[in-house]
Amino acid sequence: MNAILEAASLTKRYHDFTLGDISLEIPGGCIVAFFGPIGAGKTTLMKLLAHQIPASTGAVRVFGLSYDDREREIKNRIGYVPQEPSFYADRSVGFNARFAAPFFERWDGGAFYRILDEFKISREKPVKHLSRGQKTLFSIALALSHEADLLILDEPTAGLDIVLRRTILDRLRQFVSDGERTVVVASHITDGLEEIAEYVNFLDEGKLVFRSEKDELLARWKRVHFREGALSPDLIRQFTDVRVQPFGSSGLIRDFSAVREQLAAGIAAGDVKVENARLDEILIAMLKGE
Amino acid sequence: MFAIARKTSFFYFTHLVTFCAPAWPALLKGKGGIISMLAFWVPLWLSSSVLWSEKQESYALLRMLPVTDREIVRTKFGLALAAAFVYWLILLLFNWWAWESSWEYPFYRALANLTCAVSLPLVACWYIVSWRFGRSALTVGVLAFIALAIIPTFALNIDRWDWIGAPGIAAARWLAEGPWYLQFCIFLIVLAAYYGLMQVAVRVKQKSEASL
Repeated sequence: MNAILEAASLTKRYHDFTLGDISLEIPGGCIVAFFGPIGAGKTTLMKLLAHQIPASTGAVRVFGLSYDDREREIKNRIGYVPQEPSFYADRSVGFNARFAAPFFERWDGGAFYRILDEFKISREKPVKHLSRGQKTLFSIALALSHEADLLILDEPTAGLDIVLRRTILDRLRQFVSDGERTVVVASHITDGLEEIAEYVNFLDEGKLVFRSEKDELLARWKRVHFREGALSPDLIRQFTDVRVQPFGSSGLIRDFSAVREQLAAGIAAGDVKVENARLDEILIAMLKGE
Repeated sequence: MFAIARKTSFFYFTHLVTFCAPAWPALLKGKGGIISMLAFWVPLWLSSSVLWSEKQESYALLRMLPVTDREIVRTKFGLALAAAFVYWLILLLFNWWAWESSWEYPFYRALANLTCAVSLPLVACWYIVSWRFGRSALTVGVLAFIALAIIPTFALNIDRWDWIGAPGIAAARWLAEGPWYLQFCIFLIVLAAYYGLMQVAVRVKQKSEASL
């Protein structure tokens, strides 16, 4: 795996929260998602990866370079979209863009204004009059306008309507389509991101509790629908998130391959149906420790 | 860096204009007057410039851009140094205009040197306070400093301003009567201290999240 972003023993300590000992490698040319409940440490991790805050211990390397001595070079190749974007609030969108532009070596003003128009954000409007979602869109426009090789986004779809959410997800998919560029995205909701992410990470209480390729995860976790009496009680006890419904029940199974043979007869008889579990179901089951 | 410098310099420039404004009538009318007090205003005006520029700064945005904390600190400190230099030139010019033929001229020149010199480490400390403890702490600090400096001046008879600035005046007299290189040595010491504080500020800026 050719890692584009590496973190080694990354820790951030606050007086009431610690993001602990995170080591990870993120490959190039894909979308990597970090999920977790609110307060799990996703924003802290994104800030550490984008060098927005200093780490208490550990190090981050991006494109094989260290922020310690190559910060400017790395940030020229990164687009960072924070959860709560901060600009010169009293000034217009255009002013903020003109302020930011000279810092980037490969700024594309035409692309920036095209994206801004696509998002229907007026360049004359003061930033303080933008909604939270519009500020995020403005931040995304900035991140996409300097030919970045890596996007780090924190809750990019929060506060957006369904049309804009789809637009952003399509943009992200398009961004990685050349197989060279990478997206790292954190969110507390899987909605939409589960379709485009190739790798899934799960954070809880400041710990990285789980990492997997999404397809591998979906191949293992299945939701099994079954008629009353079609499965043995022992088998049903292996299920999590069991839902009893009038015309049949369902449950999540953690390792489908281990029970495939036990389900075969039921599947053949039409009493059992197996479908892919949704990512949010899997994450909730993991969060509950089931 | 130019974008940061241009934005920050706006506050230094507007303060400079208000600093000079009261002096012109005094200069046009005759000698002395408010010119005598101007040197004492430099630390106040520079502190106020730092306060207003910091209040309007968006360090969270700057963190997103390809610019290092070291570059930001150097730009801010460079601007403050340039501003102090301009204030010093203006003071020299005004004092030369007002007192050139007076036997007091060396004293006023030394006073200008001294207040501008003191202003530099003061400004450096304000930046460190802002980056280490946040803008609220800076606001409280600068406003308290300005109040402490201004209120007694107005509370007491304005004619007795020299009593308020007695330590500064005594130091300026001592400098004015001393050998020429004494002021030059003080200038070098202040520059060295300012440079040292700038290194401290870089480390503070890199480690702290208070300004974000």
